[in-house]
Amino acid sequence: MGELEVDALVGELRREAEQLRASLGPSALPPEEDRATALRGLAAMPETAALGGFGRLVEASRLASLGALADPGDVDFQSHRVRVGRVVIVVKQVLRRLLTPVLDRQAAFNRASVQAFAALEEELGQRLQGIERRLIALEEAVGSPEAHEAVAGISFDYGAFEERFRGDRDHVRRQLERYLVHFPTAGAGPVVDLGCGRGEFLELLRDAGIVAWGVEADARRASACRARGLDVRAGDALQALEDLADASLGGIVSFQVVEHLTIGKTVRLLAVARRKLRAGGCLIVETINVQSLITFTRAWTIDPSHRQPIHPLTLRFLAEQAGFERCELRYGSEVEAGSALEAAGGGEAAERNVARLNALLFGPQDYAVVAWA
Amino acid sequence: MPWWPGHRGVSGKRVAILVPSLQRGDATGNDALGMRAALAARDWEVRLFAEGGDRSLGFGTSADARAFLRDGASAIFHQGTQWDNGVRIFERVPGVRIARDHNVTPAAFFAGVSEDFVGASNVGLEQRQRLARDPAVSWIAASSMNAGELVALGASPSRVGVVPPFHQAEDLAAVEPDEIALRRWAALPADVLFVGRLAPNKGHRRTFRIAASYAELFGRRLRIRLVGSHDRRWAPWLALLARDREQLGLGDSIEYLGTLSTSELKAAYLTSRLLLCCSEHEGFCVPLVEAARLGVPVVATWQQAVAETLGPEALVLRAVSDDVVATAIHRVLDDGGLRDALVGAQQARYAQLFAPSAVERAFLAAVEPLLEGEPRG
Repeated sequence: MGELEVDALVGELRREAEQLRASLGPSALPPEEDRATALRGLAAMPETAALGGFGRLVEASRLASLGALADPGDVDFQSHRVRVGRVVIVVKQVLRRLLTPVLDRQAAFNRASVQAFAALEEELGQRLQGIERRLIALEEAVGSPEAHEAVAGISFDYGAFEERFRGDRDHVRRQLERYLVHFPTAGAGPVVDLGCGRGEFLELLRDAGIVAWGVEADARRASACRARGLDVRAGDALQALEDLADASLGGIVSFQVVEHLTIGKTVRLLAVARRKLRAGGCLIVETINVQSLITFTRAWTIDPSHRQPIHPLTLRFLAEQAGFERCELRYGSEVEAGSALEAAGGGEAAERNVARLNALLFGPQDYAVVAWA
Repeated sequence: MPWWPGHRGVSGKRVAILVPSLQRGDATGNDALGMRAALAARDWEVRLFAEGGDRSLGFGTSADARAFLRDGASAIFHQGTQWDNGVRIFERVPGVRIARDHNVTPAAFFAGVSEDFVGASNVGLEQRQRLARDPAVSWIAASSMNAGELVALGASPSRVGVVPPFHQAEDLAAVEPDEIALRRWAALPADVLFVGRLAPNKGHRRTFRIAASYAELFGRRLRIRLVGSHDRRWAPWLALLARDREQLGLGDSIEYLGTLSTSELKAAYLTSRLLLCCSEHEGFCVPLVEAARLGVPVVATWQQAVAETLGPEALVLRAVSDDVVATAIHRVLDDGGLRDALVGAQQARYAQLFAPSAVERAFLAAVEPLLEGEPRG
């Protein structure tokens, strides 16, 4: 970006601001007072009121400056007394030498207290959030088909099921490593993993130094993730996403989740994800590749909780409709060697036919839409 | 005159660094510590002297400074607001005298806020002027703006060099972010970060009005985090900020985080989408360098030293309305390409001028010839 381009950009911003203001009408903000006038207006306030305002401002802080308030570095060794000034300064210096160890300890205590309060507040806040989400999830679950199934005794332990059929954690980690490329720097975060399961991708992100947290509907698996030091909240992924501020995330990932949702909920998830990602943020939604017919004899039918197969082109279309600027399809999880048809010895035409059949029957078992806000 | 090379009386290569207060994380403290390290690596015996600060950093008192300087050692004096004791010691140094100019916040900013600070500022400016007119004092200014002011005050242009300050950006880059802070702030990242003390010259009122303008234009409130120390003696100013915040309907969208440790500051940068600088008076503005190192784009309103630190390829808005600044913020938040371009330009400037090796080179090139020369006066 050269100097002229900066000038052009500033000109463009001026025009855009003028147009916006013209379309909205005059500002409703109170007129700006110069510093002196504003301070004179405040001078009529009693000191306690002024400090009250100051206090409210500080209330919002983490009170981290407590330590600084006790810092001996703030002491000012000046004296306006002409004759005894030097004596006063020396006395102050002696006092400071005597008091410094005490003040240092006090400052250390203050800092430790602030950190402890902050940690406690953080922990309590998280616990409260977790309880609230579980409550919401329970309320939503009452009357749902899943709840009826549970009552009827036909539900099953999905955690144990996934442990057996999803593959061990190392295997899943290796499969997910290919997505790390979309989060190249620590600044790419925060990333949210919706339906994070056992937290394999969160571990990869953590190892890469990227801030990330996950949401998992299964409270036991969320708890197991936390026990491994991962930041995982139990609750409904979509609800958790909706609770976040707009444009607050650098990445959203969701692996093998949307096939469990209704198409309506998937559409909603994509729309909310677009809102929550900041410009340039990356969305990854991985699901089963229904273009590979072998998946219907394996991944699709083995899990009875799958609801909605989604064609890759459909998912990409939905992501585009949700407002993502660039949407790409990435295929993965090749069928293991030995499963596909062999083309050897059949001539070129036969090899081409075998290749076509292999693509149809034994294509990559997963795909992901990778989209950028 | 002694005839043997490198002679400094009986002292050899000895230099004292005088600084009012020595703290890690403080701009002046970081500068003094960087100077100590650079000179020590060139075999200078360097001693730091301060009135107060973090004792673990190792510094002597004023009395120690007098004893150290008595036998002909040179001195680098960090000139800021009023420091009578330091000026007295510096003016009596028999060896080479170099003043590091950090500029002084003009008294006008504290009018009606704190008479103590008006007085301290005026005295600091008088001391700066006195030293500028002293032909035996050489200067290293943090910016061309500072250098220009010194020349205007009477310093000979040949005695004024420009050397950016040593800073903690590399420490910030290397330190692990504070985990608690990171988790808390990452959950709701800041749209806008400001780093600098909560003082009348730092442009907080403008920042608030820009935030209010943004809410009008774009229909949502910016989440703004303010980092920096405050002084209880500025109570009227802080009350004014609190009033502005209420009148402009900003409520809890403004978070004041207070003074942060290095690891907490790292977390604040990592969880912020841009740094806004509306400061009305700066001598250099170190947070701009930190933001560059950590890849946080900057939007700034024009102030001479701010523009100089950011360089020509930065989004520095001169003579524009709050609406235009709000629109610029919106554009940077929304346009990944622009953000990348800004960060790229900032990082290129950092590598060229503000990387530790670049600062060290500039510092030694300016200071060593002075220290190795004869005292003036």
